[in-house]
Amino acid sequence: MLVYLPIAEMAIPAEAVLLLGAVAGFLSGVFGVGGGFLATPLLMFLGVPPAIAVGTQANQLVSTSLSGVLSQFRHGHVDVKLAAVLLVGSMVGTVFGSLLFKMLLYVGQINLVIPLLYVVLLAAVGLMMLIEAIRALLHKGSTSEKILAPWHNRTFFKSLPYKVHFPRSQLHISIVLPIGIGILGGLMISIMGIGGGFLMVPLMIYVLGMPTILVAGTSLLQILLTTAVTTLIHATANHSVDLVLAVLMIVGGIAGVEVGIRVGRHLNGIYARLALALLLLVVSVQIGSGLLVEPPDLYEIAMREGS
Amino acid sequence: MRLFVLPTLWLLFFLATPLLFSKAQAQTSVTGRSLVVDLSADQVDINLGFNGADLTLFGVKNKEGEIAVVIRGPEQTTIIRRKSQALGIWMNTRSMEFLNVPVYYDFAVSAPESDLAAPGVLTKLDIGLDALDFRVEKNEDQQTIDSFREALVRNRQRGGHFPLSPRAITFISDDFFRVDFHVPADVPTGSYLVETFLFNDGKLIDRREAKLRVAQAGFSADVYHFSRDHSFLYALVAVGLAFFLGAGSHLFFRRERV
Repeated sequence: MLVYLPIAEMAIPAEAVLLLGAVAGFLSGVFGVGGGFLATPLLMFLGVPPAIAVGTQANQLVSTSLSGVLSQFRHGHVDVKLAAVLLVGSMVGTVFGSLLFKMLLYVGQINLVIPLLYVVLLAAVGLMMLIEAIRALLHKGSTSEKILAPWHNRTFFKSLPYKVHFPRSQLHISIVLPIGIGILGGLMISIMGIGGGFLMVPLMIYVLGMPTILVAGTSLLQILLTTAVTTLIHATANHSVDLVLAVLMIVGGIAGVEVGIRVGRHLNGIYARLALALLLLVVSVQIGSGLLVEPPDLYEIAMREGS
Repeated sequence: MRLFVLPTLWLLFFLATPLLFSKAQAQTSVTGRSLVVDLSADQVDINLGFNGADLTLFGVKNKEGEIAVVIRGPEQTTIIRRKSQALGIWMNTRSMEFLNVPVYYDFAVSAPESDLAAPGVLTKLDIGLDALDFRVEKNEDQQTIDSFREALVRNRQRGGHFPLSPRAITFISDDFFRVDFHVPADVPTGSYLVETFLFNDGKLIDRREAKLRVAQAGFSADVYHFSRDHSFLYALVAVGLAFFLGAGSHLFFRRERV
């Protein structure tokens, strides 16, 4: 069934969007990542202009991360103070990211930079997770945290100024670190339309040295607030949030999350990480081959912002 | 009162009937027009379930000759980019800007274009894809312009916004004809122009034009205008809806899980 998107000004098969949202939600339910790294490229593949794919994906992440945060809050697994500091960083990142996005659109290289960023990020994180999961499989006795030497003990991270105490995480670290991680997250949300959980979660564990149990809830709270602000910016400044598309994706996502949570319960943690690592690598190779293989048509009509 | 209304209506009806039935006739014979056309609709409403629209043009010609019908959307500056390999990666390296490209173009002819009129005449009237004259601002050599122009037409054809071949004109009788156009689901909005030409012996005898408005309507239009006119409120609604659905699903499924 074709549904006409009033902002994107195009018709799109509703089933495809529902399925796409469900797949993203499923990933979120199983692995606790937003699934944006899969949904945004697929939206663009369906013909949705990049600006609207990114803006609407941010809107969908608001709903997914909220339902996740509420569950985490119930168990008390959220460090609100740390999330607030991350938020400061991600706001800075979002502003820079939106400017960069407009610049790239103007230069005409948006179709190169976005896939390139995806390839590099997904491959890097995918490989790291793969190595970590394989090592954990080989040394079943020891926990994975011990194998990957925690970087947060390195003197460089300890020597940074402006130390702040975070009682919930029992951390006494430089405020530069969480702000830096937040900036990365903000850049990713505004340029790539992804929450960036798959990158921020490992950084929070290895660089900040946060207790693993608090990481998911804290990053989700940060993602919730950042995506809410990003959606406001995208909708007001760029008119690039499509409500009809967003609702379809959210509804598909809600169904996917529930299925994902149920599947996730029966999945061993190591195997889940292994599966996610492989998925990240597959998506990375898939997008990467698009850059390396000669396109069937060398010419393309330039996509216009918001139209 | 009633007694008077009814006869008056009847009177009006009898007076109007000859006018109605002779309208087409009157236009062709009395005003000396050799071509009359009408569109089945003067606007295409795009709503939530819009799946493309069929559009029919009816026409009467009372002189010998061939017909051409052109439908086209508003013109836009269109940039086309060309990829080439750099550092092993395919990236956009060259681009060209065409100033007056219709967002949508389709046409129908009753005879091959070459039989209608000389190429110069067709170019002037924009009949046929080859006749469309896109202007370029940059100083480029003709060969480069031609290759970009060809790529532009190819891309638009692939998207279904330019025709692969002209549509047929169906003659119901010798002088009464119809043309069926199909407007695709992702047709760009705007003010469209439908032009009908009558050629005889390579010369343009008569032409008619009709306007067609393609616009969002109903719910779609409401959403679109709301997002433009009250963008901050729209943004709040978008975020609020996501909050509502996210929290709702959490509450609903938590009850189910327990």
